[in-house]
Amino acid sequence: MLPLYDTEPNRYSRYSPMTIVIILVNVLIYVYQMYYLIVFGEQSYGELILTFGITPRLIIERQGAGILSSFTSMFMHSDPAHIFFNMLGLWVFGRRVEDACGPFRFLIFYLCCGLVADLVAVMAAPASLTPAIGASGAVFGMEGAYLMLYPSGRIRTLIIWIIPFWPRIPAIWIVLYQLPLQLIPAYNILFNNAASNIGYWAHLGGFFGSIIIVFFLRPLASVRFWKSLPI
Amino acid sequence: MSAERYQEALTHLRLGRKEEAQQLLLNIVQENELHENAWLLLSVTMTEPQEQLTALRNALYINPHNPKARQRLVALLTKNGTEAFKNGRKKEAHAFLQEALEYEQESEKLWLWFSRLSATIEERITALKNAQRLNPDNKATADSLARLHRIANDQIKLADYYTQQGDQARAAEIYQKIILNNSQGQQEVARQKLIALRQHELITAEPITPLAPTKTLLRLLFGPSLFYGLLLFIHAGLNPLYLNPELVAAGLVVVLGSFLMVGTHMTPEHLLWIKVFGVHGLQRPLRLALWTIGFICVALPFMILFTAAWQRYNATAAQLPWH
Repeated sequence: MLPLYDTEPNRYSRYSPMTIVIILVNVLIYVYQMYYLIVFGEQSYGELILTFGITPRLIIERQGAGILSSFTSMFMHSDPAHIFFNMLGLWVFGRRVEDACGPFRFLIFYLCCGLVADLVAVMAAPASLTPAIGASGAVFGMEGAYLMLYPSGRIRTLIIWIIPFWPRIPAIWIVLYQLPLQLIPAYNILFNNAASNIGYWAHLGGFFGSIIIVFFLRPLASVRFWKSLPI
Repeated sequence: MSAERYQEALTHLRLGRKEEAQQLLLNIVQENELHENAWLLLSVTMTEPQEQLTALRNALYINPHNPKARQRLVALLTKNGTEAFKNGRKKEAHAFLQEALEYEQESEKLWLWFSRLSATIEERITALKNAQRLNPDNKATADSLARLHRIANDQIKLADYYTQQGDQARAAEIYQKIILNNSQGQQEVARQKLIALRQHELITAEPITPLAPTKTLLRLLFGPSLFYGLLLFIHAGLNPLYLNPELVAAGLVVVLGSFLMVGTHMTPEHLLWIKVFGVHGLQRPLRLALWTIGFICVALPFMILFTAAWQRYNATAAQLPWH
């Protein structure tokens, strides 16, 4: 199940400039990462990731780049698929969230979601020395905010079930599909010390963190959600 | 006989025995309901604002030129209007001030207050014109008047104005008129706005408790403050014991800065706000200056925090596991 795009147009602004800027910055940083890998080699590239990715144990021990890394890790990605799916998610869910709150508030909200995601990830595995990078925590935050702001929103989604088809499905279905995929491994990481390259706790942190933030900022949204009013 | 009882009531009142005075005065007005001074004095002994108003209105009914009664009634109506406004009962506040203006038309402050509560733009313009008549040098009044004239002369702006004022019915009426009578371009704009208005009506028709202005302000201050708070918490290694007091203090500066930035871009209907910045809010140069100070107050703590993080990185870089 791959969300492709939100079928509803923007309501208040023609474009969502900040979403586009964030996507461009992520892409440019990824291009730079690749350039760095080619020019300076794998070892230097590894050190770059260790320095600017967020490493829970270093955060807890107040060492390394600290908040600088929690900031930079949001804009770094490990491979083309990683950045592609994250940026697609940001475009699908972030565009209309920005439309609802304006570009600068959206930027702060996006960064806050990323920080909450980092915070939860660090708390879930405080002894880990594995650096985490990627915008996925913040993107999951956008998903949570989208769900709160546009509960009846529909997303054109690619589903491959024997043959591929792409219906417009309610955003809540995507969330109901994705959440268990995060919850089960997150449980295993916390209680069974399972190792994973994916920041499941960051995803959950971003998602639920954004819901709490939106709930505080837009109490109206929750009423709209429960009453299923048209958007 | 009634003159004696009146004197007796006056004596009771002077000695602070309000209840005895009230009883005597009630007896007097029961016997002679045209006793002007008894009604006036009765208003002093009453504790309920509604009863005080009735007593004063009766005194003025008997003698519309009684200066004391007029003065007291205006003061009481203004006080009640302020109270009603404070508790979000705008219509009630409007009615109180309207009545106060019937007795006192030479108060600039009253006209300015009334202009703020006026339901229609015409009424607001009239109120501001009266305020300007009383104080032609008030630049804020002149600016507001010019702005309202501009709005009144543009139908789309006028409808937007009523939307902002929460009078959706009047706004919708104006949009519909534009759709019927105006040019193609304006028709399209009005149609779009009418759709948005209907959607908004649908949403706000839900039983939602409006947030208090203080709570709204808190929500508006939330973004930068939360962002700073999260960064600070991560900087402290998720341990409140390691929070740097100077950086925590800088966080308060972020809140102050956000407050200034938000405050310079809105004129909330909050009594404290109006008391500090006046009925019209801030003037442009002051607004710009305060916004700049606010921005610096927000930006500076972030810079300090990032500098502290960078210094820590430089100090600990050599000890990192991969070095």
